[in-house]
Amino acid sequence: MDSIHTPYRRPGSALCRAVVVLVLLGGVLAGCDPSGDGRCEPACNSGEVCNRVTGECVPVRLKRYEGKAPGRGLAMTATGGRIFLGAIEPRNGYLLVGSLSDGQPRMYILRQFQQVGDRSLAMDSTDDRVVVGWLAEDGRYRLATHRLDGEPDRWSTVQIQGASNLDYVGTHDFDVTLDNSGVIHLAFRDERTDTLRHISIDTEAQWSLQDIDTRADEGDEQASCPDGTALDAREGLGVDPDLVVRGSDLLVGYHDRACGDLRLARRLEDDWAVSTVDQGTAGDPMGSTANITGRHPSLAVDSSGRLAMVYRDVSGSRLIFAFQRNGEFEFQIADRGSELGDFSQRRKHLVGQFATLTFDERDRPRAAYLDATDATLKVAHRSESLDEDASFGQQTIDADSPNGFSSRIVFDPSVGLVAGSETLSPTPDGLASGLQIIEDGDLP
Amino acid sequence: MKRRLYIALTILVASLHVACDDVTFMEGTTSPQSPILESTAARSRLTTGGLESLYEIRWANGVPLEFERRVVSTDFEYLALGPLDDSIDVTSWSIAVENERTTLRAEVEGFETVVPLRIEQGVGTRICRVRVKADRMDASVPINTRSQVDPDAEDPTALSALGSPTVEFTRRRTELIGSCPPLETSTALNGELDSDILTYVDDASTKFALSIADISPSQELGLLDHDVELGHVTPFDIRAGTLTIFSQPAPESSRLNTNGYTLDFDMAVESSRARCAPPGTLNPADARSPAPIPASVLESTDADAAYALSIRTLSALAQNGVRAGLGCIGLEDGSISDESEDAVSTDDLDLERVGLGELKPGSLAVPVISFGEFPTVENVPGTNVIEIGWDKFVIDIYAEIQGVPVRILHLTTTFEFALQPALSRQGSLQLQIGSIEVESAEVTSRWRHEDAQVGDLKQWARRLIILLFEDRLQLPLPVEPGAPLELVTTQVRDDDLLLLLRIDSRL
Repeated sequence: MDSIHTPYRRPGSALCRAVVVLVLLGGVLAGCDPSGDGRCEPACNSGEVCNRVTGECVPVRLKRYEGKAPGRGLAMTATGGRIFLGAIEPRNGYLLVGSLSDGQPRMYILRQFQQVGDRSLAMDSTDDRVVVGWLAEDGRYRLATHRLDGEPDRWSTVQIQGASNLDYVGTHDFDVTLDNSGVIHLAFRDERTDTLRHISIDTEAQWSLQDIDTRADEGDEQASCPDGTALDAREGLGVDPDLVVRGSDLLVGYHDRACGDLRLARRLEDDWAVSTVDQGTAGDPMGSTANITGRHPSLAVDSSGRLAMVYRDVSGSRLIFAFQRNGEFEFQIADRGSELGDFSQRRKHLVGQFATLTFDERDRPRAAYLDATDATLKVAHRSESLDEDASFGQQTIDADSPNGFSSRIVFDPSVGLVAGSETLSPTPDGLASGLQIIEDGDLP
Repeated sequence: MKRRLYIALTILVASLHVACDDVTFMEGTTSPQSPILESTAARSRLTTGGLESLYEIRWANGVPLEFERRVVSTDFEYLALGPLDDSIDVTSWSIAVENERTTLRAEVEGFETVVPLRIEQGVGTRICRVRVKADRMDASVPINTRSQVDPDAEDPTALSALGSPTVEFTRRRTELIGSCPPLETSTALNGELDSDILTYVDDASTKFALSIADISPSQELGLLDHDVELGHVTPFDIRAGTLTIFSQPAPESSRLNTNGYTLDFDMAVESSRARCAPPGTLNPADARSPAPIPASVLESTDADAAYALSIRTLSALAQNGVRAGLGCIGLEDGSISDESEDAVSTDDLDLERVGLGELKPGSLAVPVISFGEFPTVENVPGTNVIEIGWDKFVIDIYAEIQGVPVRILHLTTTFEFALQPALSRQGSLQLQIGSIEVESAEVTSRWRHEDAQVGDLKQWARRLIILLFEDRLQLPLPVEPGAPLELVTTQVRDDDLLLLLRIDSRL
């Protein structure tokens, strides 16, 4: 008997293959479909996105900024052999963050401001994190962080639990720092009260708000301007605050605009102790307490934990360096603001704006600041550490166009000293903001 | 510390807008050197009418009528007249010159004084008072400079009595004030006692007449007759120098004659250099004394006083003022605001002309002034013009960029401006800019883009100088603040600047 057999596909085999195909297809589709099975629970905060594959919330990937790096409101911090930057692109209002790569800035767009105005940025870092802060249009501060072990274009907005309950109106007078336990500290001048206040945000995004200096404390010897040095029509406390962490201490230096003085506040547990560092007579016993001083203070701590600061003496238009020794502040003139003129006479230069301070590898103070007469960046350098008596020298860091605005100087053991400032290039369309970076070999 | 403003210093001070509050004044000097004084560097003249006015001012609060107690011999155990401690208001002053003798007259309408009487009788003491009245008192005393009276006198330029005065009373009488029981029972008052009282008043009046003559015309007018040192008060130590003016009356130069009073001054000027000042040597104008001041000049202008300062001294003061840093000004509070005295609108600067039209700085700008050379001062006789020349005059203009005061341009210019003294409010002489001639102007700026077009810089510099200095050049008169002097007119003569002044005791 002849019979023709059609091979019989076992229905199970085909079905099995189809199932396999479907399973595989489903798996592939699951990997491609954003509404796939990798949900993030709880939902990610604003400023983070959900990785559907891993089901984890990850920082937003920022868009790369391809233009020439600007320098407006420059902020810098150094950590782990890297230099991180924050700056504002004034024409488009971009807030840019990034870092130096082979000496060149690689920047990303964090957000866009509707108006740039007098905006400034604050930045700080620890061994594992960088934080940047800014004042938003609604008068509230915003913060973003970047993990050093993350991709360079990944930044997270810090969510502050119940942030809308924080009772303040921010100003451009603020600073940000990170302590070693990961708590973010923000010191600022409150616009409503013209006083200095402090916000801290812990790793659980829990915040606290407290007053640092209101000039209203009973028994506060700072309650009124000393010796009748009050400046009529000038009010305000907490101008140009600069925050620094020293061990478990939190310190902030700031300008008292009403009295024209430099003040220092130190946090002791939950309270703040305020003192006046300079009433206008530092470095000049014949000076007057009516002098205005203490603008643009910048604080730094050397390897021994000694606190130092540089700041602008407005009345004398000079840069003053102060450091603690045996519990008292000693003062030096870091830059008198006196240069030789064209005709061999001494000419007064306005120096000290945007002052910024760091210590180098030999614990010697280094300050960067603006010489407003020549519109150049200057660096003042002390020849010895604070263990020795020494004087300051100054060096001008020139550029093809006016520079020195928003000056910054940082130190990292791996990178060395790095200074930066905004350059303002005159063009037929006005001033174009640029970024000038000066690395260790070119600094005194 | 008495403040006095001196014409020669303040030409520059006023020119460059250093305020009085920016200068310290000290009488005397810390300079260890004795300079060589320029002989007759200044002259002054006072008319007799002016001198009369000075006496009126000098004794505006009354002339002391004082005399010690005097015991007189009477029937009483003890009777003493006085002491007198009164003040007499003089109704009018006059000076007459006859036969080269100058006499000062003081007329008192309604003379009145009270003489206390101390009467002791037994265990009792009684104080009675007698009023001495007269319809009129006329006191006259010959006067002259003290150098004529006593060559060794202190302040030989002052005026004093020369010889005995004369005092006459019209219808003088006495009257007892209230009751005086001891006298009521005595006839002494109508006899010798009355005579004693009047003699006592005569003696007091003689002393009165002698004292009214004492006056120092130069001090009353606030003219510089001693050394002073001025320091620049500034927070910038490179601008702190000192200016010292040495001055003393020229020997035997004080004269009182038919036409009034004259006094000359020997002067010298020195300075300690502020580091902002140019380092070169000074070269003031050649030394020539001011011409004598004819009385006719004062008569024709109805002026009471005149002061002529040599161009050389003016020049020396201007140059030393620069050397002392008084001209290094600007931005001493480190900020730019509408409270800054020297602030100007950036719109008025015409920045486009210097290639900065696209800069868009803040709305206000302030100038910072410094110098590459010392100024020259010359007069143009017959034109009432003083020319001040500035070589390498530097103006830095500061305005705000991003809220920070920065220098936006640097001007170096050589120019000369002709200043014409003009009348002004009390206490100052306005210097009007008659003309400005700019010889050169160079503007540099880091804020100018390379394709910017630059216009006529000399013209722009000229306009800037007018903007900064026009109507701001004030020359305080060489008198103490509040002195009753007003400027009548000025003359620029061959070798000096002559100021003609009127004394007004109402001021």
